[in-house]
Amino acid sequence: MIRKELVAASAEPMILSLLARGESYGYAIIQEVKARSDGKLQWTDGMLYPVLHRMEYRGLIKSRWAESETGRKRKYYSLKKDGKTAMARHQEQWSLVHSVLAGLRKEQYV
Amino acid sequence: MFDLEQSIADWRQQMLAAGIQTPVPLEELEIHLREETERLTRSGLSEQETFNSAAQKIGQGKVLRSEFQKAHTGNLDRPLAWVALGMFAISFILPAYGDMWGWRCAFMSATAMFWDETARGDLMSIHLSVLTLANLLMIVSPFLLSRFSRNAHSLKWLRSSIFLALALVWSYLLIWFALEKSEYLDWRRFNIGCYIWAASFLLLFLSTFQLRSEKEQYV
Repeated sequence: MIRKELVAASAEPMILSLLARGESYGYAIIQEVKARSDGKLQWTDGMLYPVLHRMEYRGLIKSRWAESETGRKRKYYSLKKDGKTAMARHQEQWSLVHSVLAGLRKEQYV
Repeated sequence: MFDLEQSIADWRQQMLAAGIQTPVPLEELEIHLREETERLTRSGLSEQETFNSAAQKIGQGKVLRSEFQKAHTGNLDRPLAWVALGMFAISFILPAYGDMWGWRCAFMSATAMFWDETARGDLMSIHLSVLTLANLLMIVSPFLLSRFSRNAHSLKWLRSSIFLALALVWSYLLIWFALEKSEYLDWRRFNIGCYIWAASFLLLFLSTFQLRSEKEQYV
């Protein structure tokens, strides 16, 4: 299982990247993250919503209520312009961390 | 016999009692609860088991309420802004022009347009009156900073407004420095309160560039 601190730090970039593919809603976001990480990245379901609300409050994402194909009401979130900028910044930073770690790991095997 | 709708109604009551607001975010959480219950039920578990599991995953109402509160409350950890506000308040109880107290100067500024017929329409008196708006902006700045500084776009607007106030304050003083000394206009009579008042606007402006410590929330 991935450490809580890392899960917390990756939440915002993860949500932004998922929403960059198109609008989505809380439950789908959690399922998508679970599926993509083979269940290793576990979010406490209810805690996703305060994070989404905070991101909306900061102007990174926006939301709208709509009915799903099954007739159920859902709150869909999508990316705003500031969100795209924030996503690019996150991706740059995470890529840097990844490349440093990968470089160090490679050196260990040389 | 387990009644899903009754259990959801009870769960809603618990959330409401914990302070989770309706319709948002309670509706959103309920939709999540229903979707998770349905998904788990499809995997062959009983409705009661799936409901209990889904409700547990959503978490406790009190913890959620505190996280939602954090999400909507502005961050006030901009020490410079508080120092600016403190200096601004102190300047009111210090001599600002000659022996005139800061609060008296602020009052004169607010009423500058109504002094007498000759002062009406005079550029200096208009400028002096507009300084009241700068004072008002300073007074409401803690609210504005907490409300608008989370969003880069609105922070830009707020920063521009504070810069405008700063420019008004400092340009007024600079005009006095540039004007010839007369019976009524003498920049040498500016007192400590006036300088502290002007400096407070500079600090407030600088505080908009201060980095805030983002408190990451765990998901």
